[in-house]
Amino acid sequence: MVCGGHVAQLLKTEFEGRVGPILSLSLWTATLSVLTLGFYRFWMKTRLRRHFWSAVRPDGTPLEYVGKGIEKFTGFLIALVMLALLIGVLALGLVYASYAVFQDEVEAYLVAAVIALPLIYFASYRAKRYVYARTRWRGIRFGLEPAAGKYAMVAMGHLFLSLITLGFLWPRMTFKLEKFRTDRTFFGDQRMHQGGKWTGLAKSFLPTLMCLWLGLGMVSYAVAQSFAVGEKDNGFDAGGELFGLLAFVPLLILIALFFYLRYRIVALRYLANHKTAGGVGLISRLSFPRVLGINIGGYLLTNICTGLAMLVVGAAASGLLILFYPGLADFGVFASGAVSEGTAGDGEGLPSAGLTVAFALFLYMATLLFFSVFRQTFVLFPTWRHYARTLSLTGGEHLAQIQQRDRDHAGQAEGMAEAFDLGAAI
Amino acid sequence: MTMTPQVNPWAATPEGVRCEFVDGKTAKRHDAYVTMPPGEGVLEVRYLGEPREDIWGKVMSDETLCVSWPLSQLRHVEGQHNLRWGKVSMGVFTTVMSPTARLYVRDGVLLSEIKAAAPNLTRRAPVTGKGRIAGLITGAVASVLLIVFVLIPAIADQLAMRLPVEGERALGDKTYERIRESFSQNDYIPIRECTNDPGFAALTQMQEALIGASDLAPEAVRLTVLDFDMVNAFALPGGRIVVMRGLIDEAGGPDEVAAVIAHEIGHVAHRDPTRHALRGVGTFGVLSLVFGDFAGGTVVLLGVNQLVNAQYSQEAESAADAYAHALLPKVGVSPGALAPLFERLKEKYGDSEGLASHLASHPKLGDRVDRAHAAAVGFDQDTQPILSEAAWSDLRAICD
Repeated sequence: MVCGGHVAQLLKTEFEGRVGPILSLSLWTATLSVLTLGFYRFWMKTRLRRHFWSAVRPDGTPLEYVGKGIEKFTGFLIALVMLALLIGVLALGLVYASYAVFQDEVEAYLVAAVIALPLIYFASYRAKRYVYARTRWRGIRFGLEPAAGKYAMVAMGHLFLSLITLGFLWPRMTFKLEKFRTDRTFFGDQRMHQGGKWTGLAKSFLPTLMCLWLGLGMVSYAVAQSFAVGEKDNGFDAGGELFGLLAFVPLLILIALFFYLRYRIVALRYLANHKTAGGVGLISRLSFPRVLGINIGGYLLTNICTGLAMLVVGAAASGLLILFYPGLADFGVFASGAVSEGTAGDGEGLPSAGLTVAFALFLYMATLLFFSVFRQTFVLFPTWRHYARTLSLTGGEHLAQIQQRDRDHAGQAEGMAEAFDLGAAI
Repeated sequence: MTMTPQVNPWAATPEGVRCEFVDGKTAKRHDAYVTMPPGEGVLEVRYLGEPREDIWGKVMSDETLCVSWPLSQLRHVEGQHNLRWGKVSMGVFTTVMSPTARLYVRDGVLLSEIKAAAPNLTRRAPVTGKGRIAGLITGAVASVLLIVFVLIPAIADQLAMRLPVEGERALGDKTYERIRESFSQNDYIPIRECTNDPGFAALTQMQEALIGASDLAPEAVRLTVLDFDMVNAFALPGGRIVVMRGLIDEAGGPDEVAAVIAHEIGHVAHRDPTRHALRGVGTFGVLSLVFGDFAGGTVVLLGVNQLVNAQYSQEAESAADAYAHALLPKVGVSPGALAPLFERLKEKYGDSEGLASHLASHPKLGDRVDRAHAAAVGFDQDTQPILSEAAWSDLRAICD
């Protein structure tokens, strides 16, 4: 040890978690959620968060999530009343106006989206505030200053700028919003700071932007051509050319998605590497190929497992059905599918309409359940693990100067976000 | 700049098991030595304090601090009961008196000693504000019920009366397409509309006869037959009345079909379907919110089911029946024509609810049969079938 000075400490993050416990935890909590018509979902998320949080251990000390299911539930109830008014009355009014004026409902959805957009940003900030207020490390609370309203307005401004520059200022929005949140985030009494510049993200967004502009160019060219063809009316060749152009669009979308995912990961890494809390800094070594691999492999596995699970559930349900309705015996293991799709026909010894609807609902909910469980296990869990293992803290010796902060009640929890189903995962 | 504590090489090795400790006041993690003096019921944690200046300005650097936690106040940190650290267990403990302090124990022996000696490890903090939560739940449930059953219907009724005809038609067409798609057994081809020429002519004839006798404009109602087994007919916004093939198959004559259609025309005249559809928009939006089903599958399933098996209010049903009872005599059909079909369905399917018996399983069916009979009592003019024998057989073949 050097006399009188500090040794710069690099603290690595450990990750301690296995697939088995995650799978069983998410399976039984999801089952309970379905059995309670979705009302257990608040407690389910709380349990999952506790599990995921405590698996992440910067410098060997586990993170803690101390939120309570009941908080989320009551927060949701408050949001529910406001949103029920909004959705019930507003949706009704919009649909009415849309049909009265345009004889269609697309306009209603558009207006609803414009109204919902700031609300979503508002809700997501509120949700973050709640989660931070309930997260601890080494017994010290995190916190986020209340500024949800301002955040929503700022986000709208950035969104507008990105829109009129055809996406050119999108990385600026990413950076500024992250800075808005980070600069209001605390660990104990230590305010965090987002360094760096938005132009640091611009380069990695360039390929996505090129794809976007190419797509826009192609569409506007196609539109212009179709007008020209309409005027001159000479157009078999032009039509073929247009068709060729438009066939290229799905491929372009795929490429753009690839580059956008890459942008997201690179941006996340850049933003993490420029965050500081006093003398403590972050180093992230996130790898895009790893994240891409996790996502592709994970979703593949998720879909296969969901398919298999549904086959088993479907067959079991069919067995039960045939037991009670012998008329279905011809369908064998596919009886449940036939009933839920209404192809079983009707007559003696067949289930009633009410049961049919109930059955369709059951199969639908079961599919959703299995999908979310397997996604939790095969996509989110490995992603989380990769994020954790590639994260280190610098300047660990400065942690001693960080003091505890007061508890933030964060009264309405994530009510709004819950209602919008933001952060559906965890 | 603070001074690094100098480690005294001659200091005795502290007694106890080495653990990690945070005091809940700063983010500094201390190496702590934990002992459990027998018989005292406490856990003693000794660690080196941060260097600080005492009241004379002298830096105190290697001051050993000791906290003692009564075992009865020791708790697991919630959700971290059985953490692992590689192959071994890891215990995370706190105490009631300083709930932000943490003791991280990785030593297996100490861990099992603590677990054996501390009686209340898993006890949770009492839930506070139970009354407030109960009040909140009651209030929220009451508000949502009020919104769904009072506010939305009231607004929907007002809007339905004001919706222009073109808008109503468009709304009806949208719901019509949705129903055709959802009842289809094929995902891509909606169920077929029956438009066989002679059958369609017979249908048009029936439509014109009924509308001519009513006070509605000739284009206010459109009859459509769908190629589906269900014994059912329903009205959609904008005056589209859908008759399922099953109903025509089951009917004993054109009058029975006409009676069902007259009832549906009653709904159209009172704008019940529009009101119903608008109400559905609000209600199902709120329902999907409550159940957190963002994919919206529940809503679509229930929504279509509810449109087809529209359970209008008791008053709306009575009003539509009254409308039919007034309309039918004008085209020379007995208001009692509705009764035989219902009675036959009841006899055929009994109390069991087959897929085909939607109409028969309609609640208060007995009442409606009685009402139809009652309306027929005063009816003594000559009846004439609404369609000729030939036209009726054309109509029966409309889906061929």
